[in-house]
Amino acid sequence: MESNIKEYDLSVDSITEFSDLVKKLNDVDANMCYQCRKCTSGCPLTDFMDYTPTQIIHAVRLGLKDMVLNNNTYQLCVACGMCNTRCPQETGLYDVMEALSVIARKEGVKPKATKVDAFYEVGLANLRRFGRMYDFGVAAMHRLKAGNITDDLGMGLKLLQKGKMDILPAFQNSREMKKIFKKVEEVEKR
Amino acid sequence: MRFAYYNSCSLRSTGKEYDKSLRAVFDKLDVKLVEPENWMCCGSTIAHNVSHLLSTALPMKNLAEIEKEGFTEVIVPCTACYSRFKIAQHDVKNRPGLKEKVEEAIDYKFKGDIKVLHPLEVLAREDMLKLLAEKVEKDLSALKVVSYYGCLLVRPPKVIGFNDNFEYPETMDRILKAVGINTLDWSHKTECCGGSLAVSRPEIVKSLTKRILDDAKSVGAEAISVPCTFCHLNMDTREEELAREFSINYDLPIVYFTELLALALGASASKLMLNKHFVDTGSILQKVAAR
Repeated sequence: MESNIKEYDLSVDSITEFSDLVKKLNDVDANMCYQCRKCTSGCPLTDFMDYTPTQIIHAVRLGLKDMVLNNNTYQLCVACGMCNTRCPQETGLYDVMEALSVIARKEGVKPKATKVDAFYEVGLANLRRFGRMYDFGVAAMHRLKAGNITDDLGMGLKLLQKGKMDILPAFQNSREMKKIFKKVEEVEKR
Repeated sequence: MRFAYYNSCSLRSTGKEYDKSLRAVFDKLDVKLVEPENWMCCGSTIAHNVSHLLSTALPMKNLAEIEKEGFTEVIVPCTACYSRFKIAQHDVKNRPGLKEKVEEAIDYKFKGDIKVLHPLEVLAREDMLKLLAEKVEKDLSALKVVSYYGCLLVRPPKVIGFNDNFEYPETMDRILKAVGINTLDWSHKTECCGGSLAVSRPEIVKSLTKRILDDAKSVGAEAISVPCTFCHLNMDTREEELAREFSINYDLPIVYFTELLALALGASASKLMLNKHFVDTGSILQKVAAR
């Protein structure tokens, strides 16, 4: 009788294409995970994630690319390292999340947590242009791109007033920075 | 003693107080800090989510500039930067082929290894602790402080290599104790503040920061000592909002450990930038007594 239940090969030697991609990118073996959930127990962001880190690494192992890339888990990871540190198998959960972020970007996946993605877009563009972080520019551009100009306005104004943030950007070795960005892009294309 | 000093993006903006107080402390200890001319941003929490090579190349580029200027050790105060430097060095050593790609990207071949040091690591040395104890001018023993270490300093231990217990670190406590400051036991030493989500998801940062502030308050802390510009920004800027929202009087100034050290070593409050904090530090200054 035909079964509607999809079957997965979970033997130790079998590796899905997606899991292999993650492994090649960031040196992480999803097959090491035996679902003890220590990572999820220590993760500070699980309350806000669509799926827990435990579920995501299992999904990577099963090759469920859609589920993994189209939910916010990998985006909300702040690389605090709690998972990596406590995993009894030293699997490297946050390296999985980092790899997913890179893959999603490369494949042009529209990210679920738009505000988080906008932060990286804006932050990166600013970095490339100025060679150093331009906090005011990043915050302002982020609001224009993915939020409201009134978000955290009070805090922003207070930072300016206290001289902890400059309205104008400062250039720091920006020519070298642009060179490095370009070189990295070249090397990665190979 | 001379060290290269990575005066990073955050130290020049939201973390000005850290830079100012750190320089005050090292000045009193006769340690010279030299900033490399051609520094640039280390990529912080942004680069690694976009490109592993980029997030490795940027810290390594900074180490290249430091090597060019003849240094073998660099002090990196911002813990986010410190963590990126350590991760870059670890990955270059452990991932085949990465070193060559990085050297191509930054157009430089390394001659040796640069030692990346957090100011806590420098000040925890036996001779430094002794020196700190000798140079104390003010009595801060009335102040009850909790030491917050955050995430990036201690995790993952095999990559960062910070010499301390990664679940219950005590380095900062020891340093503060050396100048006569009492630190309390608490359970949120290494709980995440939400880090880089400060700009994109402040509601998450508030939720995580609240846990930390609540625990500090529950053990009777009067101040939270921090070693990182990110941690400071998140806790200092959100405390009053949380206090209003939840009707809690936290009254917990968030201070860099270097600010506490500087005060103990006799630096006047006006020379530090305590007025730049969001949460008023007046309650700390009241507890600075003559010896």
